Amino acid sequence: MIGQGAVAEAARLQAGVEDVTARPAQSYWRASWQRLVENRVGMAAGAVVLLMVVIALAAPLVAVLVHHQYYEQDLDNNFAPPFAPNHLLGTDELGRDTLVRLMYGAQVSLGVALLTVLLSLTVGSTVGVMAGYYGGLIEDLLMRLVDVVLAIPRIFLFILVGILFFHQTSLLSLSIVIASVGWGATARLCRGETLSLRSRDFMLATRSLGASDVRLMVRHLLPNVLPVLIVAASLGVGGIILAEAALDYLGFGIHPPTPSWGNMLSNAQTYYVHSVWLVILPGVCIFITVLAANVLGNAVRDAFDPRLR
Amino acid sequence: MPWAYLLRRVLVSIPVVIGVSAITFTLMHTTGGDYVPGVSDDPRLSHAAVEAIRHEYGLDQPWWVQYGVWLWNLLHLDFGRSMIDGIPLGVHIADRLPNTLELTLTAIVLAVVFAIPIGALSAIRRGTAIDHVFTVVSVGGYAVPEFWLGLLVILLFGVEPALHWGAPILPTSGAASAFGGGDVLDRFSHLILPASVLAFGYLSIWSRFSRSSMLEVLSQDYVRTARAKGMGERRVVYVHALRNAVMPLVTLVGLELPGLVSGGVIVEVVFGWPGIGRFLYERALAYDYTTVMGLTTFAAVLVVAGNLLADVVYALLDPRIRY
Repeated sequence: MIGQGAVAEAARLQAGVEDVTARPAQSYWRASWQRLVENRVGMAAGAVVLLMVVIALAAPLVAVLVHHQYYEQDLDNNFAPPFAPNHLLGTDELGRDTLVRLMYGAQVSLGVALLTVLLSLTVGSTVGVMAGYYGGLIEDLLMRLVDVVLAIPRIFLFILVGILFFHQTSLLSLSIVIASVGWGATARLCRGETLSLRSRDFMLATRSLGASDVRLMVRHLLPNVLPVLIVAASLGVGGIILAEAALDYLGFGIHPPTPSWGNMLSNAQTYYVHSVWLVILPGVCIFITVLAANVLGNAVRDAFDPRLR
Repeated sequence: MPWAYLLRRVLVSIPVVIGVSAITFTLMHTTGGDYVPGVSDDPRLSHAAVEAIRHEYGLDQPWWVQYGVWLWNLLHLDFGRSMIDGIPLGVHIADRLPNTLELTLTAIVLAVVFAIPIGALSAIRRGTAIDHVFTVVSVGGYAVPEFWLGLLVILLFGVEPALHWGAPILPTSGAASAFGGGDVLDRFSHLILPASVLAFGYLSIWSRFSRSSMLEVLSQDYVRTARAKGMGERRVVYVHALRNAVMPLVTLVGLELPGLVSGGVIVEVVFGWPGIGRFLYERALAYDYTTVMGLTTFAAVLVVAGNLLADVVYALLDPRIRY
């Protein structure tokens, strides 16, 4: 065995240097992206998420094509079962087309998910990086605030902030409600990362070149925290969609007549004695979307998380 | 147990509780102002009468006086009183907390009881069909909305059987029958469905955790040693490995203890369970600001107290933790 190894080694050395440098240096992003693309299950989940995005964007188009707007009532054809003429997925108690309403519901779910991620990341990373960078009193104040917010049970905070927007709910207001919980965890994560980066040599070098605090934080700390942020964000999307649907269901989310999967379910539970599909369909939509988002999130973590390398 | 450590942990908790009280007060004051639900818009009440009621709740005072009173009462464990029925919140909580604890505690116990054997079995039979089935169910379990699962369960055990056979298999609403209910058997039958739905969410997380923990333990040297000295496979797995695999799960379940009060809100709403969560939900929809504020602070105080307790217990149990 040892002899064979040595022979192989010698042959490899003889073959020249090209062999050693044959694999070009890959940047972190390129390598991670490559790993993600090679993950088949992850890519399949990504395709489902993409499909949901297309469905959400195509909602107005389909509404025109099938001649039903999401608010349009068809009282002669209420409670039509799926595959009824004119209504592919049936209608609700006012004869509104379920297919079109589900597609508009995707807009709410995905829109809120996107906005919430952006909000929590922006606020959370600002607070976390600042706390980690400055330390001292600023860190104490900011992190105690995070402690306070995270001490309130999620659902209680949702309802508490939800009442604030009760009369004018929108995608943005819902995102603020859900992000009011999410930013705290992001801030803790960013602070931890920043603390470990702060004392690295490159920070000292940049500072001695005369870089300002803001420049150090935005141009040098943030890009290094970004991988961890991306992983946390992609793992959080499924939970955000579930939270949004729950808020809609409870009545603190999007109000009817604007359809969302959550408020369609809350509406449908009155009628499931005779119209089971009204309860099944929106739930299946939530389930598939969250499942795909979670599986994709796991794939992103496997590919991007520097701590797994 | 060094008392200095305990004292320091308690002192650190106090600003958190004050912070929570400030946040809840600010939010409710911003939303509610001096509005009294059911009274402020009542055309039959004179302006003077409305003002009198506002005065009674202290809503005519400047906000810092209101906050001061609120904080002062909190220090005496007085969480205020409802704006709708005027009953002190402590009475409402005492009324509903036992129901909530009954539900959440059952769910957590149920989840643990199933999570350990499911996880262990998946780990022992790693890569087999049964492992794959549990994996799929658990990954699916993460993605199922709790309230939808509740609706499906009600459909399956309540609505459909009632439709076809004239009676539901299990009751799907409330904690006890309205007429002649309340005995142990009646309460138990009402508990089964909501507790199972709540347990399912915990189960899908904890069974995965217990699987990976068991896998880790099975590859340890002492397991190999036990096998090498000729110990039966059953004894190796169930006595040596399982015991050690369960320990990390205990920590995880411990972290879920704040969920005893707040974990079941959605399930309580779906199943009409008369607990803290449904109470919060109903009062929030009715603009009972003081109740929402008090309940939230109460829940947060429990979370802080729970964390404090956990820290102290760990410090007591684990000799490696030094202060």
